[in-house]
Amino acid sequence: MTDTEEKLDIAILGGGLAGNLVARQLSLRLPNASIGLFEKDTERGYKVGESSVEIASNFFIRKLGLSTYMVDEQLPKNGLRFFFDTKEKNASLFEMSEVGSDRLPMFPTFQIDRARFERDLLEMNRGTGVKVAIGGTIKNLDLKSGTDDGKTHRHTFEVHEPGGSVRKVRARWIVDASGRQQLISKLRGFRTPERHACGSVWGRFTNVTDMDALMEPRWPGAGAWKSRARHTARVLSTNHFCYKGYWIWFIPIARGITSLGVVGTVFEPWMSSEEGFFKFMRQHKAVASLIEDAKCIDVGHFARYSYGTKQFFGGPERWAMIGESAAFSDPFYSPGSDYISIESDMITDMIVRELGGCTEEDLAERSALYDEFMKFRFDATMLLYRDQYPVLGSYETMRLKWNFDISCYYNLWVDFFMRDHHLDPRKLREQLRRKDYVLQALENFSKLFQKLVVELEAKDQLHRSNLGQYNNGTDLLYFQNEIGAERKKGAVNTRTEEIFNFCLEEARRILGEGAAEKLELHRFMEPVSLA
Amino acid sequence: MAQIPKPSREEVLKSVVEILADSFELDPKKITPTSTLYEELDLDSIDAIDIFTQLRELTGRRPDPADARKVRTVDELIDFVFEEIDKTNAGVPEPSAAPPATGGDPGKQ
Repeated sequence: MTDTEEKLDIAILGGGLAGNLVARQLSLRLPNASIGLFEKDTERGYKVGESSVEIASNFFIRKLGLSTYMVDEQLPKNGLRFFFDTKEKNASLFEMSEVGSDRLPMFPTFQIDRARFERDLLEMNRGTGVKVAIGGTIKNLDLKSGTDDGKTHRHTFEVHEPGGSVRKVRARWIVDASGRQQLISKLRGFRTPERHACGSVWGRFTNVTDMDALMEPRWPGAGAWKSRARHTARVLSTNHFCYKGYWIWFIPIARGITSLGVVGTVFEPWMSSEEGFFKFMRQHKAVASLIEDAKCIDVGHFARYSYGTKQFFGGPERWAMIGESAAFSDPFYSPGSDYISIESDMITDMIVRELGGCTEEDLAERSALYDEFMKFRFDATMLLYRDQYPVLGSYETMRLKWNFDISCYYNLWVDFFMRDHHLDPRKLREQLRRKDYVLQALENFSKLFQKLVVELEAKDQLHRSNLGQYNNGTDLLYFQNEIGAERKKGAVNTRTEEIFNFCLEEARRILGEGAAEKLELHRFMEPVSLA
Repeated sequence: MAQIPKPSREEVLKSVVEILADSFELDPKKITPTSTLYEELDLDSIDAIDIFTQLRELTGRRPDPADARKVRTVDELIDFVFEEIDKTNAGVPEPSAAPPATGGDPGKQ
């Protein structure tokens, strides 16, 4: 039975990270709009996705006014760090080759306690006038699809409260932030399968050994090992123990708790229990040494986590999807909150314009452009992961992939976001015009990295450099001072060309081939074999 | 093989301005023969390949992407169109569609 009916300008379905972030941005930009946020869970429980990277962190700081909050309440992140092992997985921590920062990165990023972050954001949202409704379940969502049914409040859904009462809500805009519930995607059949078949198991632990506090004589070699990375705080990094086909993460989430997880093709159901998870982790000597005294708080898993979508936004129909309600690529490099940030910006822009009285044509054009860009972004992201997990097994191949991926990310994506080009139709059209070139270049390098693994394995040399090496992961970040500053397109391309040539030359070195002539950028963007 | 009639310099300029304005959302009034492609018009080498591809209708032949970097101004772009038409009319073969395989040792090929 429907007891009451409520009308809203914007209904946000889901109060996790995506829902709370977009609610904050909308409430800051539209203080007079009626915004409702609906979340079923009464407790803000543990969720994975603790690491934020450069785009998301820039979004928190620049668009959400969270500069001091992030520093006060969350942990600064010391970049990414990768450790490499022997084939037998028996290297000690200090023996392992390593790629990882030796100083805090220039652009701030954070390790986030998700439960606390979401709880704090909920309170902030209440403070900025968002009507936060906790505990009810959304049912019978009906997207009116632009019919004239109430025109301004065309969508309806019901909120079923735990006590049995039912509220009917009408909304002008629906923002689906329901995560893997995928309310809109299920209604419309938007979800697309993804052949990248990896799974994950993770958990929260206490008493994980603090690798920054390892001391001689109990840990012989600790002094030299710390010196190698200029005594930087390794614990604050997202630490990856890398193996052919999978990786194990160590992420600090404040107050003595560490998030650990395994991701990759290695996932099997027996690993998803606390006992199975511990058993798997202990098969790796260095990892085992850090969890000798660890106590598990909880575990979770996804047997297969990646999926795509046919559409992200339906501006003309006044709906949008954000975060995992739309798509999910892969946790490696932590792109989840980057997606949320870009989507939140686009959703907010569309709603601000629509409530401000823009034309239907303008709204439709922006929605289509934003949608196409997000699909392009997703396709480009998947090329970082599909068939690339074997590359993780070797210090040499992963160092190369890392340097390629991080420098392309800075040069092409972070810069684009910081300059708000993702909200500029002209810039978006320009990006989309060259979409095929970009995807082709990424595919060429993906195949090159795969080829390196095959060649090294054929000679049983995949692990040949996995002991004793160190690289600070910034081989190609000499241009980071340029990121976010005014740059001509040609200057961006010059950097891209340098990145591509550096990686091609390094690949040739790994294969034992001599130096070759540098190639012009367009040569990398044709369907050619770089191997 | 049919010869391509040579257009006037003004006609080529008009076509080039149309391509630049349509493809890159540039203000046609700001495109002059002395405009520099990479600095004043903020194009890059990938844009140049797009322009060259669109110029095929005028030149009758596939351009060599390596030429993209040699052209600096709108005037030079017009010169390039005329050179390409001359090549077509003289029966010079087009560059190969696919660039040579990269990354291999040229000495072994």
